[in-house]
Amino acid sequence: MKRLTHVVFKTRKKRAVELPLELWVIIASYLSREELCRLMGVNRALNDLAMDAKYGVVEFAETDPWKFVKKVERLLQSPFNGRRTRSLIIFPEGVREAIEKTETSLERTPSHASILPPPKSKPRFMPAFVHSRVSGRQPVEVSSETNVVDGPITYLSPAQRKELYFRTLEMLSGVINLEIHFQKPVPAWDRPLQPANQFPVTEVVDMWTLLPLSKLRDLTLAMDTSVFIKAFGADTFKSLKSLLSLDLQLRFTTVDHDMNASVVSVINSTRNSLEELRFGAWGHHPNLSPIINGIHLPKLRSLSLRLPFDSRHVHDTTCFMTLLDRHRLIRNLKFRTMACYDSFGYNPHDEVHAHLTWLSRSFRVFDGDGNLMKFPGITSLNIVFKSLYNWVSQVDHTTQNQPKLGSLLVDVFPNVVDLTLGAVVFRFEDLEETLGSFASLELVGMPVGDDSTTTHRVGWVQGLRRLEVLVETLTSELVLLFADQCPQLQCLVLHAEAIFSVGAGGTGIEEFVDSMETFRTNNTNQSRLGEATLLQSWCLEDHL
Amino acid sequence: MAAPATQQIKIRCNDEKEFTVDRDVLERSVLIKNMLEDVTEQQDAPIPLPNVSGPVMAKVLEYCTHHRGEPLPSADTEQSQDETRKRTTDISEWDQKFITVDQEMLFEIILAANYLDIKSLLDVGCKTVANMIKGKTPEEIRKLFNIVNDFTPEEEAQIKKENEWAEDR
Repeated sequence: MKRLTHVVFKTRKKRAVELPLELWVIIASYLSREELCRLMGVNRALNDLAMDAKYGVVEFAETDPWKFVKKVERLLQSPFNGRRTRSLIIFPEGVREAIEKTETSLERTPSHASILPPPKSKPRFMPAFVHSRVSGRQPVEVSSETNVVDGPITYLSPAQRKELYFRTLEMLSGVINLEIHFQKPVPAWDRPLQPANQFPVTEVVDMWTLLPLSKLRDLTLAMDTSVFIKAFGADTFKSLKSLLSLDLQLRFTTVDHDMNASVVSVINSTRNSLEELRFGAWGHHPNLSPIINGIHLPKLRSLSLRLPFDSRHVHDTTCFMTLLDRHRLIRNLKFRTMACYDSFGYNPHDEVHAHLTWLSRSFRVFDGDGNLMKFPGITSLNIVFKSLYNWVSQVDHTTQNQPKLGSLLVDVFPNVVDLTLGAVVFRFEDLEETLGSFASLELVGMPVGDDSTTTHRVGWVQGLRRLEVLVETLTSELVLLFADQCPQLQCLVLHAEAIFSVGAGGTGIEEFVDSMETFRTNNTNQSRLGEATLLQSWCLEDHL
Repeated sequence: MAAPATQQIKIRCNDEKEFTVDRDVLERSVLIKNMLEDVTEQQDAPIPLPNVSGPVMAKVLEYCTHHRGEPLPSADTEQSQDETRKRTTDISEWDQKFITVDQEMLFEIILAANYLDIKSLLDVGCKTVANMIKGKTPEEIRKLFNIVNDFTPEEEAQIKKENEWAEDR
């Protein structure tokens, strides 16, 4: 979900007086944590606002681990910050960066622990609070004369290090969200594999055993499979009795039968509580179907899969549908797949064709009676698949003979009201007759390549209440067309990649701003919820 | 000896309503105080306040008159107030009575206090809104301020799940 940046309040009737957001910020500062929680449930704007009021990000970069602990102690013991600490995010791999950064500025600030404002790009629903960097790797020696990282030394014994973790984690007994990133997730993981992770596995295990596992509700782990398998077993995961949400992002460094079985075993050990699974496979894996086929989580309500696609090793095309068939409680499905062609230089057109064909087969699965397998329980569907970003535009012209994947998805998931499609290879006309059945539609990337095609199609969007679309070039005509032809549209979100290279119909930024105003005015006059939201439009914010 | 006469200043609101007020009362507003300091010569023309209406200004002046003579907050005291603000929404008895108005007037007073830069009045107004929110469910807050719920059911469920920890910890 994107973060709203422009719309503040939507009201059914225009009230004479409304408070601007900055005043709500002051009001929120008088509210307790519990009140802020309630405020977050009011609407999107107040959710954002209360989130910022409720959480800040504290970042530590401290070469001396004991000083680090002291700083965390001070933070957590303060009556205001301590009770608000909810999550701990640990980046042991980032410690070298942190040390380098700290030592570079050694002359000005011998050590620092700074409280930063909340990041603007902070994802919704995943508030980040104590962003700590725990010294986990071999520390480095810094030359005081040149401030150059000079090589490893050892300044903590294993026992000392364990005590350090213990002292840190003991203070965090109230933490219910935990994130451990031993690798930076995207986009670095799509690049060719880096040398193996050197983080000592024993320390991961030490940390893990010290945590209040039975209280954790959300857990994020991002690491190489080699570390994951050594550090976490099904037995340790069984301690996660309250775990509701698991985000497991694994980079596959080795692939064998035992490893697949271990991953499945660890995931399934959360079966008694887990309701949301986000599983991402990174790196190259010849066949993920043993893992997909092995997952069995009876309480699962939300599933997000991120899988690589490699035309040399096509996964079992039925495993996704059978996975869904085993989990009929799922309401939200997110499916992302990325072609890994860049490391072996395939013809992009062929690769996209193979990718799309594989997807079509994956979703067109028939039951024992020969009927198309359908999933009426899924109401929110988010499917994005893409290949190399740079040749997105080329792909549009290669899809003439591609299967009609859009209409297939509508058949397979007939009750979807919130739909996100992200792929250049979707053909818009596949969907045009059914667009009105969606309450919310997000198109990431232009489905057929150019805006003029879209403008011919928006007339079909009669019942749509929310439309989010990325357009390459934004024109005033496009906005006016939405205003004119989408009578039920309550929220229009446009992501424009190029506002200045306006298309043939556009005459400039002023006209575009006027068209946005027209959109708003039309809706207001007709007593509808009328707001046009513009996201990521850095150049337009000042004009609107 | 008679006390020196207080300078009288004229202000004009956006509905053409004019007030003639003692300077020290008006100087509770940092905006007006700065304007008066910038003008060296005596001026008869009223100070235009295009963002404030007559009825709202009357309320603001009532507040400023009551609190005339009290020290204006300095930068240091503002900082310490910021630190304590999170813990208290107490409002003095007089202020509480003063701010007991309908919601539209309350919002107008807050907007005027923000525009005129009267920090203490802004705090009273914002504390009052915060007190109105306290103890209410999201649905009650929506109803109170006429806010439309723009979450999808899934988002709403997610938020509820996210925040239940605060209730049971």
